[in-house]
Amino acid sequence: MSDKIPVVININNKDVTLNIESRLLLVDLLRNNLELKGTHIGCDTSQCGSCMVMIDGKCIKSCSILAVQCNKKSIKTIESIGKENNLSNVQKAFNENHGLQCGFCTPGFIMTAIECKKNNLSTEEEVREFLDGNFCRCTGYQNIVKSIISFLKMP
Amino acid sequence: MYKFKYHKPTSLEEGINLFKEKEFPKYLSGGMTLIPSMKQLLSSPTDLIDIQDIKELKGIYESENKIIIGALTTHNEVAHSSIIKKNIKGLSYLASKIADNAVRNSGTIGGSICNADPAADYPAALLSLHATINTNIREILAKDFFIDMFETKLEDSEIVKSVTFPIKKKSFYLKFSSQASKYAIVGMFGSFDGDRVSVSITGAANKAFSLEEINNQSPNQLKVYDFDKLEFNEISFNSDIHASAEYRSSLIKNMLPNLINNIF
Repeated sequence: MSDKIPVVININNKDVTLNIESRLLLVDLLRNNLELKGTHIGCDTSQCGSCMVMIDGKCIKSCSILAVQCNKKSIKTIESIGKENNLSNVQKAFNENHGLQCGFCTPGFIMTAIECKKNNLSTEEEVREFLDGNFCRCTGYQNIVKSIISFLKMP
Repeated sequence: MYKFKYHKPTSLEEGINLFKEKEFPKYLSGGMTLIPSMKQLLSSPTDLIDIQDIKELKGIYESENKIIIGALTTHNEVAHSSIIKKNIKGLSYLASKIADNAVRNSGTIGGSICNADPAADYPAALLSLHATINTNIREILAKDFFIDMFETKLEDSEIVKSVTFPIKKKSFYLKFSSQASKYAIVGMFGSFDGDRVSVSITGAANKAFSLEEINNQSPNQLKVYDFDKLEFNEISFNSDIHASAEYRSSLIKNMLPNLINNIF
């Protein structure tokens, strides 16, 4: 009998049918099996938030969840947020406010920024507390916070 | 990661039977501690029994001066619940301060208390509020539930279904946390039942404990209490890279006035 488990996961608005091992992490499924390389692996120990994705509309670090746990769930990765020539509002805000330097942590911050907006955050203090769980090692927090505040003000 | 088997039962009975059949199984709830522990081989179950689809472990209910919180309720659900905000404000505030938002979206109250991390936040609230842990076979008082570091009263295959909290309109949680992990170096939960104050501490010792020296005092007695004279005779404080034992006991003395003021 095969050790693989059949799952159907909705990834970026498309149902994907897969046979996967129980030990496969969601981040490895996204990057290695599905070639969605926008979700990054930073620390691999649930600290840095570079691998942040949305599962059923809520941010989860994809290094800390098994792909089989996502069966019948809906996942959004950075690839669904906008395109190079058609940036979404949150990406425009990061672009306009210089919210990134090397860009490695940016996909994770973008996902968290989207949940900030869903939760109707508005003040800088609230945003800073909410960003706990996303690390930027270019020390770019000032402009990241500025970018998110600017995004929150957009309609 | 190493190989293991994954199961997703849809009923409590199915889950418990699976647990009894397997070699070294573990229940998987939010997985916010278990999955990272397995990646580092700090824990290596042969079988994971994912309980997320078991409906009777879900939900937040109010009943006869009590709030019942299903084991699968996430920290963010506790933090945002209007029922809990209205009746035990300190508990929703505590949940909003656990780890980071992504962890709060997945981590559950049942998972947290079963893991019994000495620096976890919930145990302080369960003790202070005199909560009851409801399992598939019995009810366990919070004061009997936490035995030692990562050790609870639970038997093999026993599963926490929900936690019952008596309603206490006045409560507060105060935490001095590790900046990196947000785990409590000292966390203290205080509640008032209309007559007496009850304070419990987490993060400071091998398990959360009630601060018996000052418990059962009236608010007026506590407002003028000299916390410097606390002796903590029966407490063996943790000493680690985050804080020495002396620092932890000093934190408790210095945080208490602030906690007491915020309860009322």
